[in-house]
Amino acid sequence: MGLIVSQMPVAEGKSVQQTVELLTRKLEMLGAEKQGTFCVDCETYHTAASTLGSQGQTGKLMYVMHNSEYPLSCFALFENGPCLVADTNFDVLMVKLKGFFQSAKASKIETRGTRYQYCDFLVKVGTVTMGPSARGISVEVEYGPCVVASDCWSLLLEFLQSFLGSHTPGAPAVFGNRHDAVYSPADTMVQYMELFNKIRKQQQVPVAGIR
Amino acid sequence: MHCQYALYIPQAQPSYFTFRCLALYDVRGICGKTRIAEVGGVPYLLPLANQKKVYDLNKIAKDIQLPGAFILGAGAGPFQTLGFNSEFMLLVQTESEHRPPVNGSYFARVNPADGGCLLEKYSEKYHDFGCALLANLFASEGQPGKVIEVKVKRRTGKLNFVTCMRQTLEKHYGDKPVGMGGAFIIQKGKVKTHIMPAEFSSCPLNSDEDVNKWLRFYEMKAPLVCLPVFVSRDPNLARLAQRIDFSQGSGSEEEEAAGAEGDAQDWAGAGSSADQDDEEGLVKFQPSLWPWDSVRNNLRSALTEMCVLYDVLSIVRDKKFMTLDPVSQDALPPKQNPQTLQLISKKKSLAGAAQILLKGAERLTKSVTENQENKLQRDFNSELLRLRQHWKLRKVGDKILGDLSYRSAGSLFPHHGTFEVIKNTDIDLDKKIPEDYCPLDVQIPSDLEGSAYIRVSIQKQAPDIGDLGTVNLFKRPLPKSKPGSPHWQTKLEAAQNVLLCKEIFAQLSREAVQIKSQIPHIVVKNQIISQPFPSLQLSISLCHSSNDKKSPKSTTEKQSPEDHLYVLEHNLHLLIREFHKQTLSSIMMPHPASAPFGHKRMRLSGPQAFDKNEINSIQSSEGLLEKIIKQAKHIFLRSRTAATIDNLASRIEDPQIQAHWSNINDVYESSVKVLITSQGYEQICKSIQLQLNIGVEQIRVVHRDGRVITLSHEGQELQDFLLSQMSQHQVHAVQQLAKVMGWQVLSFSNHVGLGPVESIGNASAITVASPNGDYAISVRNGPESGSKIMVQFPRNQCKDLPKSDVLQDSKWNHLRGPFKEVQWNKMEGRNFVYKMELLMSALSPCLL
Repeated sequence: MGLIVSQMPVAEGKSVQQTVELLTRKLEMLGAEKQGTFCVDCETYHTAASTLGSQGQTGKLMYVMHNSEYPLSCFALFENGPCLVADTNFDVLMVKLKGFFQSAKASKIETRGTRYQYCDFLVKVGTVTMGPSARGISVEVEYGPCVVASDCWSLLLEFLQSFLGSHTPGAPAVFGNRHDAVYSPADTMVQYMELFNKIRKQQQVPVAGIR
Repeated sequence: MHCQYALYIPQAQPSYFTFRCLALYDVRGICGKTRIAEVGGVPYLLPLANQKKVYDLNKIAKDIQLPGAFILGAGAGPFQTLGFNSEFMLLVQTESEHRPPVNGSYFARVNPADGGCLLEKYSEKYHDFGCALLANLFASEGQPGKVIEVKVKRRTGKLNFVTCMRQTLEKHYGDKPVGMGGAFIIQKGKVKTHIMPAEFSSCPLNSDEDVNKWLRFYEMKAPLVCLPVFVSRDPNLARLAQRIDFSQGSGSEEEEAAGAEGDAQDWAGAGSSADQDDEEGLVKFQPSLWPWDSVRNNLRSALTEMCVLYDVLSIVRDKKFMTLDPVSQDALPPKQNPQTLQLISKKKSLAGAAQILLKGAERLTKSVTENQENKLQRDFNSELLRLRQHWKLRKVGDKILGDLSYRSAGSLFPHHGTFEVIKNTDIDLDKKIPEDYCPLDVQIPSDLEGSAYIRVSIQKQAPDIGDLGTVNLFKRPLPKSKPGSPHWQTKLEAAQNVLLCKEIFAQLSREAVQIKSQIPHIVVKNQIISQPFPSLQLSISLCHSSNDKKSPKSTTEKQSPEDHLYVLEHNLHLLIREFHKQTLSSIMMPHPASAPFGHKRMRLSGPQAFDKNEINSIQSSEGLLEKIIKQAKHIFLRSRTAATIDNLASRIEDPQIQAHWSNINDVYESSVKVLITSQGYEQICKSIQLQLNIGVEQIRVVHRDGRVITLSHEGQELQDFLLSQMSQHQVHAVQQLAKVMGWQVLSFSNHVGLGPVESIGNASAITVASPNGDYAISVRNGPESGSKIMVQFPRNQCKDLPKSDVLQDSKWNHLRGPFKEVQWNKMEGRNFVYKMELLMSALSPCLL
């Protein structure tokens, strides 16, 4: 179940929607079968000011994510930090922990799209939306038979090239540290978190430019 | 009169006591209406403490008609408050109308820490005015007045200070008892005195020795303030003296007051028992100096009595105050009068009590008989009450409806299962009521009437299609009602059973339709037919016989009850209950507020991030039908295995086959151990031991050496396998036998590749040579072809050996020659191994 999440830049002169359609059409041309939809969402929490130390220590951001692939699980991640996998009751717990973690307003970012099965490959093309507006496209490719991601990396890359063309990404950082580690669902979520952060930053840059 | 004195050690100077008395307690002296009160007595302490005897000083003050009295004295500490026994030095200003009570008492105890003596002020910890068991009190108004001051310097004799004072008083006043109370101070020197231990003695203290052992003695240094209260002589003596005149006016003992010069005496609370022991008490509370104390006491009391008798006689002799006259008979009745009166009054009161008791008894018997009558009559309401103890009832409109469904136990069966409770009125009241008449009747829904059961059977051949769906009614006699249980109970239980059977069948048929199996399950009318194994048919049917007599009798006769699988029928009931419990537990059972309490793997699926497929695999659970089919398969497989083994065992005598069935089985798995042996050679022929694990679809055979063979459900496969094992066993037995007999194994093979091909398994062979190498026996044993035994002789023993050109020399005569077959069936011996042993021994050279 080696897996890679990458971002597809929006094609020149086209809307996000159109680019997604382009991709899905390509996939269908390849012979991939549609298999329902998927959804990954992410909510950002920052540590409450009251619990911070006095030495000007900045609060870490915590991301609480859900993946429709793991319907009963809830993931809580820190950047570069540990990843907690819990059941969905974790959301209820977060409400109780208001004093320690405060939800960042309008920070909910999610990607929704269609799931395609192409032989052993599982491809998910999603539109990343933040609030009402579409911000980008996410492409997830999973190779089912392999549990060690680095072993099937080149295979995945090749497959990605076949329909992403020149936009093929480099190896994700997750694989860098651990070469032979068995791929876990948390790794997927880390990749999604990084992708979402990248898209958020992209969105902030033009705002700065206007100023 | 026993004279107790108490001591306590003041904290400052000796005059402190007086100071305290005068300044702190609004007490200026110890005069004014002085009284001596003897509270309780030694008998309450000895031989065993009477722990009921507790007193309140305020009450005592009232009892001696001196409320607000200033009381000093000595006694036993209030164990009811303290929790332990102690000596008590009383110094109390009791309660009066215009003054609150003040307690200045001290108590001395045995220090639990080191066993020493410990003096504590009572009011520092406690605020009541209790004392216990015994106290010698001196009460006064606390007014200033004349007092006697006694100054002494040194002890000169055996008697102690207080005894000396008492004797002085006695000497001066003679017969008149005079009491004295107050305080004295020991300014110098040491005093030996006792303190009662904290625990009352658990064994009776009958002798002075026991008492002295129990008490704790201490030497105390001056200064000590003592609070003695004593009386010059026993007032009893005076009383006895008074009795001598037989004066008619003498009152009851308790009320008697003895006047004393200057001091009025009041004997509050002095019981008669206390009086008797007074003399002893006196001695007990002096440190006993002389071992003959008790003897002396007895002598003294005897002397007293003698004196009294002497006095009486002297008085009588004077004839001045008293004469002795013969008592007339008439005089007796008036003398007995009070006694008879008492007797009569007692009788009367007893009679009154008896009457009340009798009335009560009569009422009770009446109510009991009424109850019994009621039971016999069995009125509707009491029946209803009993019904409610067992069944859920509710009132709808003017009807009483009951619930016999299993819904509250977790059943999801849509049948309402309601019954109606009706009053049975169709009985002629004039006629005799029949035995089994019940005023309450239940009306159950018509579809739940009669009796029902689930019938599970396995048939070998598929029945005709025409047979399918025929209601195989097998009418069981209605279960007889248990004695004592009412008619409706059996009726309702039967109805509930019908309901449950219906639910089981509904569930099974639903599953039968839903489950996709290779051979579809057939649901026809009241029968579910499934094929667990080819040419095998499992039929589950709901047999419901209503009570009407229309059902044809022929069908009931046809059905033989043997082909029932009662185990499966029972298991079906168990399974449905389990199913009920599951539905109940997921909803009703206590669970955390945040989440339902599901399956454990389900709970872990979140934290372990299971994906959809894994979650699906958890959720899919086996239905009732699948489970029961699996069980049926297992049962069938087990019985078939047993039949196969039994068949082989009965058919083949040599070698023997033994099966040891395990008692502990699972519903889906059981095991049997199969041993193949030869009779008489069980010890040496143990090569074949098989463990057969019978599962649902197949049988796993675990060989002794760890080989695992999986056999299918077909019986033939097992039979072939066992046959080949048996044939191997024979060859193994020869091998073992050769070892015992000292023969050499030349070759051995479990699976011989030569010779005729066996239809099942392979033939096995062994060749053994005699110890001296002259003879060789070769055995070939096949599961089908049977055994073939050849013997090889030395060349010199063969007569018809063709002359060989090569082997001319006589030395070659010892070479082994050709094989000859043994006519095995003509050999003597009861089995193969025995025959082989005989053959071997025949070919072995005689050692003698």
